[in-house]
Amino acid sequence: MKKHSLNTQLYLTYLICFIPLFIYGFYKNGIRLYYKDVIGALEMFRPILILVSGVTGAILGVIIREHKNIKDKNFNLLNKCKECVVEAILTVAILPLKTNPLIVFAVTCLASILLYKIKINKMCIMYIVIEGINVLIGNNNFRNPYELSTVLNYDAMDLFLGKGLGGIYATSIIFIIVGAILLSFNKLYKKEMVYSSLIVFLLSGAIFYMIKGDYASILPYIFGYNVLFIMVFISPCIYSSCYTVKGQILSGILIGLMTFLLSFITLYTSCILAVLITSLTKNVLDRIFVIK
Amino acid sequence: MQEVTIKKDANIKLNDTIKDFLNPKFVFIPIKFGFKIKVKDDEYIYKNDIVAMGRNGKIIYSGVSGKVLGVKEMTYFKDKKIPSVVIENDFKENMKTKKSAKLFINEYTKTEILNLLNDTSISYKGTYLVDKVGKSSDLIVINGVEVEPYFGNKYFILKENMDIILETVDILGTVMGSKEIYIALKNTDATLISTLTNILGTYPNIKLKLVTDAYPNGLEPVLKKKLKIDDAVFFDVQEILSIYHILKRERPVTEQLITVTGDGVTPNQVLRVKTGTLLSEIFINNFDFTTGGVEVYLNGSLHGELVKSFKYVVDSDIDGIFISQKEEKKEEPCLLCGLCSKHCPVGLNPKYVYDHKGNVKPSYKEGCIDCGLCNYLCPANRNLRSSMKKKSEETSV
Repeated sequence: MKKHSLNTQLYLTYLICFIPLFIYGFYKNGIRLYYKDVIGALEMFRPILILVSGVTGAILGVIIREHKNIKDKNFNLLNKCKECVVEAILTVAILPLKTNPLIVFAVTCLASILLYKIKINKMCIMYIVIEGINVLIGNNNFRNPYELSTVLNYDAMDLFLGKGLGGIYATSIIFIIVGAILLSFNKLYKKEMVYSSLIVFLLSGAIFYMIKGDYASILPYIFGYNVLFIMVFISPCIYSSCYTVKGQILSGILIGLMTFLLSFITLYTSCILAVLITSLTKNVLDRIFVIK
Repeated sequence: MQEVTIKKDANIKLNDTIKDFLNPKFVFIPIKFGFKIKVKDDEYIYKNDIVAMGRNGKIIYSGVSGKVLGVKEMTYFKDKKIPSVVIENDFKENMKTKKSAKLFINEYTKTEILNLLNDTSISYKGTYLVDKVGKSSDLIVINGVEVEPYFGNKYFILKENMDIILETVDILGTVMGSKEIYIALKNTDATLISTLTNILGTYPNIKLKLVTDAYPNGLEPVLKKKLKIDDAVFFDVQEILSIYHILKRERPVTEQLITVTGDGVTPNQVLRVKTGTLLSEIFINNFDFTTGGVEVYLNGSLHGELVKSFKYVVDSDIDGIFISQKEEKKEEPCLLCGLCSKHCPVGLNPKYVYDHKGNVKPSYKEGCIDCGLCNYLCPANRNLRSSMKKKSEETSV
């Protein structure tokens, strides 16, 4: 009986879910800025350039890694690339617009070569490396030129539609939710982990700000800083997260809690760090529920 | 545990009628341990004559009339090698005259039924029916849910014999002192459900229970869970039909149904065959294979066994054969998708057992029903089932 290529389906779903985010991200960080006369015509294509850099870097990395097998009759470049390309796209989505495309290209290329067999979340590592370089060269501001030039005052609907602060392609909450729903239909998508992390993160944040009496901060906290995008698209990475259902729920709870706690130290990196930590401890978390 | 609905290939469709193949050239009768052969080489034997007798009083009968050629070691399901009496069929079905059976099966008393089952020594998948029927149980469950997705034995038995199945089940209920009898069917078997509901009114203690068309709902432990039953005696519809034939004819049952299906064979057919027929003979006379190589699974591709030849003898352990076109299956590294543990019907963790090459505490495999769902679901094509079946070693984990 023929088996379904489930992981290919999953990566395809990721790409389909990314299309509206890509369109909105290009509009928000390209077209809109151009029409507001904040940037020039060429600069308008910067979001696409960063994305293309990430994807080509990932493909080149795979070609370098697999150069010995390329002449093999059964070699399928598309099959080998799918994972790295999707990971590069998702990493680029949460980067600030100011990121240098060359850095993105180099990091995604190196990640495809060096991190191939490592079963930890590569997207977290790529992001941390790129952001580290951004911090070093003073490029780590997530505001685009228009957001820098104006005083931001967004209501709930603005934030929901994606006008808030965040990565290039990671601000549209409505499309992130649609993506989460679509992905939930794929058998390989670890939805238990995503839902538990979202619930814990939203509850802990909401309760904290309500106790504090700072109601105005609840929505920016929930909708901002790439958190929802990372939880929906990056945290349930198939090979670097728990495989038992209970392990997934536990790691989701840990991601939610750690994101909340780490957000007091660093806003944009809190969720990525939480995902990386749970990815590193996945074997331990799974083992708790396997031991008989 | 989450249910798994198997995506069926629309091109694999069983023919509407059962085909008979009741004239094999040779019939092989397995002589299990503890049985003594009662026939000699070159002796003429009648149909339903005694071939062997066990120390426990159980009897093995001949399914055909013909000449005894001798004893030969034959292969049965799970590669069991059993010495078997070879009978060359004379195609006459000669039988010694016997007193006629009762006209209505409800005229039998409990003792008479048990004696008949004992005398005919009928067994199904290794269990003597007399032992099952001899028990008392408040609840009897008739399993009409096919385990394998493409098999149709139970469907055809029920479709063609619904009246007599219900009649026999009703008598069994009286014999076993049961208050309730459940007939379990898939909720997609619309024809059977409609036929059954039309007749059920005659039998107030028989109830229809429907389960979803998911795998492996047809396996007894899973069906038990689905029906939320603690204690019951389970009968397969094939067993009920055999009991009916014994009561009706007072003779042993020598025929059975097998399904031959898959995208590697034509036609897809349910066959009525003599128990003891060689599979190769069935295939030579009835089926064609697709070109390009095929894979043969005894008892289905999910919980069956992959075999390399048709040297097997048909007995009640074989329900059918699934023949698929050969496809390259390369084992890949685990994706950590967790589908195997998420969907395991008995809540085991096949990935963990596989990673430890099967050398885990027995508790990690305890309760495995060998359904093969983990193998089916694994996107990395790992043979998880084989490690679950591997004998455990008492090693610390």
